[in-house]
Amino acid sequence: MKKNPMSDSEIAELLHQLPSVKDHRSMHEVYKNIENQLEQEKSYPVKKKKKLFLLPALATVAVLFLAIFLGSTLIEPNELYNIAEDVQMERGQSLEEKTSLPLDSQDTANGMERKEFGSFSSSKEEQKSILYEENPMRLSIYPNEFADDQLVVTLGLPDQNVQNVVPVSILVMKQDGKTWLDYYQDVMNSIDEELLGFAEYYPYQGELSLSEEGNVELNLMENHSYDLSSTTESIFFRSLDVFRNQKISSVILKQNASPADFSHTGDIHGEYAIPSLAKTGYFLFEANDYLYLAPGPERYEKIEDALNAMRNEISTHNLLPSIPESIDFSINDGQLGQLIIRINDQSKLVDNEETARFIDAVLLTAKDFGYQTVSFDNARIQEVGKFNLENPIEVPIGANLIGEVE
Amino acid sequence: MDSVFKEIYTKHHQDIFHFLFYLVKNRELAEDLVQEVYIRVLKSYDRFEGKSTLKTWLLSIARNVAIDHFRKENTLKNKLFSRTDWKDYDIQDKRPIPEEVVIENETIGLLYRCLDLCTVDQRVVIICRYIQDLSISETAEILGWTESKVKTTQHRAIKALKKQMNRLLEKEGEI
Repeated sequence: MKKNPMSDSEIAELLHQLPSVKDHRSMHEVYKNIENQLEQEKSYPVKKKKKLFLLPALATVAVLFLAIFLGSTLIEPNELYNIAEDVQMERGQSLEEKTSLPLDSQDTANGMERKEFGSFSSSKEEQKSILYEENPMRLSIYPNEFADDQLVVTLGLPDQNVQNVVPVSILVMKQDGKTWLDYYQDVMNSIDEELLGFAEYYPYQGELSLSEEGNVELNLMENHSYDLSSTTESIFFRSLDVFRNQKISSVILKQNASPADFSHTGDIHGEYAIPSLAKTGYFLFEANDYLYLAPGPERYEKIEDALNAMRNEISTHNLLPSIPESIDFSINDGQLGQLIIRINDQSKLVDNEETARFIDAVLLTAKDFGYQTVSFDNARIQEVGKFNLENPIEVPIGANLIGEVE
Repeated sequence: MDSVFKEIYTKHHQDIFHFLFYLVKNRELAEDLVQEVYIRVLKSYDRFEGKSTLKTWLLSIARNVAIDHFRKENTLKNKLFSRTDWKDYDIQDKRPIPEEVVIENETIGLLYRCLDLCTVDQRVVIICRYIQDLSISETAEILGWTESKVKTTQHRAIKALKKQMNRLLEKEGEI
């Protein structure tokens, strides 16, 4: 057997030697098969399927109507009331039992508990897997890049050194009767952080729900690990910050139905207020050969300061500069929440990955400072990757699009 | 017989089949999928604008057909993920190698199996570039990508294949 390791060119040479494979069927045979297939499609159009629901559904409604109508005439009004109450009590009990089940099973392995929560939140349908983008450029997703029936789910993934929380976005198809939080939970249940090169983190050690007022509530398990240290707390809160994308301003934190306490980073009692603007800069971060844009550890007063910081690496956090040295610009505030980036005459923008990442990083930063659009003036180039620089660009919906769920 | 079908069959049938075969590595499946390609082509031939060559257009449809199949099979996740798992991944494909690929050269046989460890995109690029001998720009057309993305993916794929081949060859050497 060969001793020396193979080179790229040897692999390429071997690939050329792979034998060619032929279809032995004749033209007529193939054509006949296709004809048959087309015939079948004609006689069983796909659309028919949907109508099948209608009849059983109507029948069910009719039966229910009859049952209630006939039932209520047979039972005394008082009894009816009692039955309703009983049913309600039973429901309440079973719900309590269900929710307390995972909380009681603290001695089981972590994975087991997680599964419980996963299946509890989406027991009705099978888990859909995420199709991960192969594109080495995992840029942000912008308002014009997805349809009305899709939703961008953004989660903050802690890196393996637990220093940065990198937002990643997944595009999901909306379905009837699901809340936005349902999609977040689906993604939390199915995302495989370790395969992406991040630390295993989701789903949360607790149960997420929407309160009647539309706030997010997180009912934490008794032995959750988020309050172990200042690091775990700050990572936890930064992960909650992503709900800002859904216009959520605070997350109610409970444990055993009473407010949960976090004492390492300030005094948080039962509620975490999401800062309305993150006011941070975005830097390059690498995980498993992919580059992401990750918010830096610091908050800045002014966007100038954030953009200046983005020219330098933050070696303590493995963050690399996202603004190339060769690109110099000045900034101004325009009207209606517009940030104007005026490229200096000496700088030349080139249509390449580096420039596209620079634009993406500036747009993400602008969003974090409350801007709606960014205009790149004096760019002297029409397009960089997917960005058209001739018009102001709307800030992105979610950072680092990594894949989608269909 | 439909004239469009006849033209495509005569000029490109074996190319499409060959492409699909290496993508799915199963003769019967490739036969089914190639028929699906014709069905889609016959339904949308009037949309062929001639911007690309007929062959790249057909192969881009073939790729979509194969990807739809993978999705249905619900194994795409694993295939896409295989990239990150090199170390612990042992080749699971124990299907017999089709007679055409019965290979005198053991190293090529190994390479054939290693193709499974590439992601779908990587495999498409490998097939286009090395098995169908298409240019970078033709491959970019088929995938709807930029040429630089094709180059990057090709580079990654070769790197991945090399790593895996060397690992397996070393393993065999030890025995």
